[in-house]
Amino acid sequence: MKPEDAFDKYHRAVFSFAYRMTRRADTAEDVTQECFLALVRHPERFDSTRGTVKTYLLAIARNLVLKNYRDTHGEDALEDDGPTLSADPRRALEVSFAVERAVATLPALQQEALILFEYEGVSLEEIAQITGADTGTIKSRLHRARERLRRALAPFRVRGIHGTV
Amino acid sequence: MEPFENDELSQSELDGMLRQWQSPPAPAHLRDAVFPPRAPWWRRVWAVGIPLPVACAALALIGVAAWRIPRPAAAPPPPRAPQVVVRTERVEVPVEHERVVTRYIYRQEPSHELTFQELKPVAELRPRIIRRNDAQH
Repeated sequence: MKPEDAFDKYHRAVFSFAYRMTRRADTAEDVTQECFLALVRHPERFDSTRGTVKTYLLAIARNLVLKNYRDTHGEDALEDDGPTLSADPRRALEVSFAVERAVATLPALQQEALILFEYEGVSLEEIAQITGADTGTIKSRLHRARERLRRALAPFRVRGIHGTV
Repeated sequence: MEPFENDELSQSELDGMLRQWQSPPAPAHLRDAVFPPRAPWWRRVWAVGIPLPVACAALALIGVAAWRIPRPAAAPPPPRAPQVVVRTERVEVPVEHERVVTRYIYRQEPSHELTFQELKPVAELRPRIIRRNDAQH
């Protein structure tokens, strides 16, 4: 596959993943650009026996995002919890904002598993290829992420913020 | 107020809420950043990036080479190419006019002997009597 075709097919997924992981459009843009420049400059590094072009690009994006995360949060922050979500729902009246903040409270490794699985439609096996972990670990991270979100987002369920509807 | 403590979303409720977090679309200029449009060739020639040390070294080499190349000492100036001047002169040349000599040459026709067939009898015979001059006498 030519880099131009790969860009047309996967740049939205890479940008979306990078944006959801960093929650910054400019950083997501830089990450996406670096991903495809890596493919343009060194196409021989892609090994089709180890995965698809999509998983290859998402793996590059993941490395760049985690590097950015370490630069801002420190080396050992990947397993730590993110910033605490405010219990005051008035600060996040929109559900989408609440979801974004709730995901941000997850540890980075749970975030990437959740975002890749829920938003980018990547299978557990592909996430394992991207992250270099085994499928069981990914499944466990995904389960823990969802359990935390079920509790964290309960105040924002459809019946209303204050449960009055 | 602590909202809904000990409460959890169901899996389907969580899926529904997760779907509400949309990411912004990728910017359109991203493609140009990754695959810049090709400039015309004459702009690409000028846009060739040469590191400054390489450029300086190349200039120094050219200078040294120009200085070290032996020049021919006091070489005679090359002969000038002959200048071609077109000059038109009028030259009088004596011309001998040819004399035209006209001669008539008579050549005798080959003898033509009469054959017997050419002799034809006359249609009217007109005899003429010619007297002799001394007939009076």
